[in-house]
Amino acid sequence: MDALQWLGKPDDDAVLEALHEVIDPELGVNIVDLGLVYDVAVGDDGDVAIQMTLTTPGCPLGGYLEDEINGCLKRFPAVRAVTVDLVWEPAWHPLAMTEEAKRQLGWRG
Amino acid sequence: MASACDDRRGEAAAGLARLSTPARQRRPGLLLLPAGVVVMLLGLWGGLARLGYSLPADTSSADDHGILMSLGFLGTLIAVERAVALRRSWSWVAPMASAAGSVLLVVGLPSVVGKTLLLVGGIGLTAAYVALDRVQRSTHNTLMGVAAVGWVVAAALWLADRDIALLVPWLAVFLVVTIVAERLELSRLLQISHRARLVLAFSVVAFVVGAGVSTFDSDAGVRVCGAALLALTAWLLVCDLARRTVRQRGVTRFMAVGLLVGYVWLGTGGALWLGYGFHLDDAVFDAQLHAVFLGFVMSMVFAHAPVIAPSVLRRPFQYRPVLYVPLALLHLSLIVRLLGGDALSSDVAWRAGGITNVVALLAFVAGTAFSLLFVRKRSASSSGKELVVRSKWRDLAGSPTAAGAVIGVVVLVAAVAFANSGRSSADAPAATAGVVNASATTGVAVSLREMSIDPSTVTATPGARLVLRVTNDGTMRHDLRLSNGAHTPLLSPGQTTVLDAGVVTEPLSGWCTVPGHRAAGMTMRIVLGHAAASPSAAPDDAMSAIPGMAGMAGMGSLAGSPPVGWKPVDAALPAVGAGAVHDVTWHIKDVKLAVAPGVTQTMWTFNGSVPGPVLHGHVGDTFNVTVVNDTQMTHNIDFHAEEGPPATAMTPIAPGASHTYRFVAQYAGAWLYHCGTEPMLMHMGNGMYGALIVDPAGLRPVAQQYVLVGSELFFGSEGGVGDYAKMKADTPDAVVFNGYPFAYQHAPLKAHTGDRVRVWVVDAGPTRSVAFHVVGAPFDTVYVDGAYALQADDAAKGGAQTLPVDPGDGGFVEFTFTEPGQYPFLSHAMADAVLGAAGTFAVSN
Repeated sequence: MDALQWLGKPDDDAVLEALHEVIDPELGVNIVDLGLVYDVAVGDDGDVAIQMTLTTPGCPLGGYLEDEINGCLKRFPAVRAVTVDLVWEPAWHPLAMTEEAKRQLGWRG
Repeated sequence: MASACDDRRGEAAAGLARLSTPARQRRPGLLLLPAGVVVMLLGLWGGLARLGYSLPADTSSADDHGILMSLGFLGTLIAVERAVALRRSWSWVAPMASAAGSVLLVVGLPSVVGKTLLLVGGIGLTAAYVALDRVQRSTHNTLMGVAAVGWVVAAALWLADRDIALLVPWLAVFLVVTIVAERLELSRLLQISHRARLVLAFSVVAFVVGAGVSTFDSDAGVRVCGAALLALTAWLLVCDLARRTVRQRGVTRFMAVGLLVGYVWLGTGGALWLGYGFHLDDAVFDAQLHAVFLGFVMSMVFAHAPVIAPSVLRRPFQYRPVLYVPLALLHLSLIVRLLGGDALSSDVAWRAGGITNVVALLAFVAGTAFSLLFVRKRSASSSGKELVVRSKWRDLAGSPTAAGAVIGVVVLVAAVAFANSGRSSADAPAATAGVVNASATTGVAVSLREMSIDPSTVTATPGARLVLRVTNDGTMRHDLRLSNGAHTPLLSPGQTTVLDAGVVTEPLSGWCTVPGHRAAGMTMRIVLGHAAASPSAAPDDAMSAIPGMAGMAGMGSLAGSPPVGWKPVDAALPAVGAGAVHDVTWHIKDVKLAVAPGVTQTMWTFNGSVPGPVLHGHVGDTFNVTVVNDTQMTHNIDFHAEEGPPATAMTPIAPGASHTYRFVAQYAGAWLYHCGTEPMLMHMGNGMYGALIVDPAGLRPVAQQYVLVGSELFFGSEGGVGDYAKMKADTPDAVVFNGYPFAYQHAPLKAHTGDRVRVWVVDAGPTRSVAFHVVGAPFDTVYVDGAYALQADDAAKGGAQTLPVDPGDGGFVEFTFTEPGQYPFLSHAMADAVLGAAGTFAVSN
């Protein structure tokens, strides 16, 4: 895994793993566990395309999270351009959260 | 919906290009967030003016403080937030309109321009929610749309000249519902029951209904809103995410703390709204507004800033714990303001809390700016850990945390110094008024009260300078603004200031800017013409009635401790001098005297004291009273015991001159002497009186004799002369025996059991009578109107309770204390006793 990060372009899973470090500051939970990241695709040329949503389209965090994602993926030298595509279909739903996120937010059962 | 969705995708794709040219996209946010801060500064400026701090610039920001902070500052902020989310160019119209409208309100354009732009801002924001609804429909977005409609309604009512105080519920709909909807959105991340969501929806509906009711019935509407706020508070405290996230760390915890403390203020506000209903500017109003709009709304702003600021500015935000400092400052100062200022009526606490509110907001802006400017940059490293890239800025500034604290302190000092410098600069014109040629200046005392300004019409001499001495005689805070822009700071009850209206060349109008007061009748007119020689504008007195120093007579409790070094006037009757001719020399002088705890006044005196010296003699004695006038004003003496035409017998004494009044005491009695120069009410009300005691033949010897001169005091500005308007209105600040309220409670008069005591009472007025009474010691001898009404050896064993003495009259009573102890004496006109006409006999064996 480490070798892969440094020697060549990361695979989709490595990018997704890295995105666990992008935290929604209001919730204190990362965007992957929140279920906001719909798709990650690393192209042959090292371009990364991310499809994600926000909990609501009125949320102004989109730009901020884009910046955070860009900063986060700088660790991969092979990654060139990062594009973040905000989509609203399907709409985000609380059930998209992972068990870890629910645990952090105090869900029971 | 599908096509809308495709649109969004298309825009998102367009966003790719944007990411490559970020500078162009940042521009609106980069400009509008600081513009919002500028509007906030304008609003805070007005807030300071409302707190009574005199600020140098003449702006209407004080009038519009509430609108500037709610629709101007927060409206811009919220509209920017939605524009950033929506990513459509037209959505920037809303924040631009509200920011521009706010600035235009203050710069003096016709207010309809600013008001219209604010309405446009509300409509723009509503449109943004409609657009977001088309992207993805949700309950919270609909609620936010309702909130934006609250903005529109408030702005529309304001445009229709509705008073700002009546718009408060609608302004609250805008801000509170926006915030609650945001929390509702986030509550989806929690396991919230359907029923809990219904409770929230019902509370919001109730709140909006309350605002609607308030448009027709202010009191009922505010109470409904209050109940809804309490329900919302309960929901937020129980269900909101902040209860969970407060257990997290760093910025997430900071946000949660800000939210939770804000909820407590929302509940406080709800209780105040529900319990008190609609109030117009008073302490309750201050508390009702600032619990909700400062305690709740501003705390929400503090809490969300670490998210909003970086999203809008597209700059990384380095959270630092120092942000807790302004947060704590905001809430602590609000407690001081509401508890000390509003609940306990401490003006000092109110002002100190208020200015610290401002400092907290400024410190938070500084701290946020700092967190955006000084960021530890991430860079790639072999370990994947963050590296700290030392920036030049950071090296210059040293530790950012320390620098942030320094900025806060500097802002604090600057704000306080600034506010105080404003105060002294406001005094400056008043000080110069004292040296202006009296003939070119008209001075008029103006009284503010609920809900009128007295006099309602002032006649100014064309081309002459008009100086108003403005006193708040009401129970609420008031101010006075003239249509030429001259204005006083907000005055607390009892406070007096001098307003230099300048040279009046055209008719002016004046009014109180406190919301609702103008409409309720607090207006006045200044017309041109030659003023009738009203006493307060008489050349001799104009300058005296307008003291050079503006400021309030910082009146504490009348019964409080006198200042160090204070001594009461000696009440003991001086012995009759040797011989049948009594020669005395007095000086008439203006003396600054402590006349009540915390109150110093320039009194006009006979020989330096109030009352003047006691003259004592027998029937047939000759008095030669030589009087030197050391003042700048003509005075004279009217001895009630003397005979002859006033024009010659009571010769006026010009400034610097002297005169000997010579008369023979033809009649016995307790006589008043006083200055008889017009306006006599002013001269007497400001201390020019005393007692002349002429013993009746056969007066029995007694163990102890006292002289008490009753009078009223009318406090003008601190250090100034008495308030003539109060004298005319018969509204004294203190009613006294021998010149000081409760003087002989502080220094009781001595007596011994079994000893006969004689008390001579002379009432100088100027207007109120004395009903002299000693508690626990009925009188067996009463002498009034030159005869005994009752004598100790009265066969019918009659007794007397009070010695009634009208203004300008005098008499005496005799009585004996049978047991040692403290015996109160007072004027039995109880309202006067409360104002200081009371004292104590300390009786020992």
